[in-house]
Amino acid sequence: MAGLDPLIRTLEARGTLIPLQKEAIARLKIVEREYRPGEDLIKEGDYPRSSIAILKGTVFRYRIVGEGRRQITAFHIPGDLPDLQALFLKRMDHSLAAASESVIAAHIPHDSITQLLDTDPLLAQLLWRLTLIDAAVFREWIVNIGRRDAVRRTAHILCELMFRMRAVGLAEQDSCKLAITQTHLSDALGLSLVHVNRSLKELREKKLISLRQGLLTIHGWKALVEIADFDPAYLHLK
Amino acid sequence: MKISLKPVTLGLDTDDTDGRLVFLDDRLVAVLSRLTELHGPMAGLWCIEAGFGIDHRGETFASLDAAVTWIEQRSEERDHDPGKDRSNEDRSNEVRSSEDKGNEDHGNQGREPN
Repeated sequence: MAGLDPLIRTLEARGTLIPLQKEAIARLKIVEREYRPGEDLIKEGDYPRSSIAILKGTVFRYRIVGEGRRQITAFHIPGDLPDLQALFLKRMDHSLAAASESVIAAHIPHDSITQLLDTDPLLAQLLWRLTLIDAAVFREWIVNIGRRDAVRRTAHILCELMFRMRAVGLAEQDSCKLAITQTHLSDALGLSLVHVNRSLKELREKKLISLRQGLLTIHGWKALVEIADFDPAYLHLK
Repeated sequence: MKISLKPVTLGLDTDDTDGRLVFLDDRLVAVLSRLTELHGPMAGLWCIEAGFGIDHRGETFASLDAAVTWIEQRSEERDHDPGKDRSNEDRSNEVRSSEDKGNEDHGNQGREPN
């Protein structure tokens, strides 16, 4: 695997790419950079001149509200373009940070992306589709945080992450690496750390999941999906 | 203001059932639980399970004393919060401007006591 392969896999999980398009993506000039766990990739208020494609690790979007409370609004995995919207919106209205492992990200200059979009309307449509899917995920998170109890909420996010990891070939059978801590889950789900602990314990005791040393395994898909009220339709995977 | 604690058994599905009701004078302001081994390094801490009129987020404390001090501070902050009265005022204006008498009654019932 090299360069922007994770991005190509992500695009192929959501649409169709012909060999010429893959070659055009592979030819994009990129600058790779490594980020320490917790380090910001981009800060709220920045005006990025390149877009990030995650090559390795997990990134989360967040905002800090009064008294320093953090709300995580999305997790992003290899192949995702978490700040593509800055191509048109210019100013970042939230920050992006590396989760609990170091992250490698490719910076693709906005000029190169714009050029690609100008010459390939079908690829432009596919990238548009990616940002629409991001919006669908945000909607589902609002539903999850607003209307599901702690256990269902926790189960739902685990289902989502496993589905997305699988779609880009980052899960082996029913296991995937989950480079996020319970504090990240707490900030993403709007639950206290104590409630996340209790929810995970309940799911473990029902033998639905195990979460050891950053490895998430789902043992009881059917029951977990039922508890979570999870329908992957909002992920719009092929 | 006098703070008092009453031991209770919490109806949680986990072992965190050792609880305390926290009263400020005769008002119930918080429910605390003592965390068990389930919580690893947080075992033994006291957690705010519920707060009434206290902005909390499941904070944890090394001792009951520390939890009570925090709750007292939060209650005092709330009592001195100038925004509190204003928000009530805004809400009553809303109710007054409503033409729907039924809504007005409902609004009055739903208003928090000061």
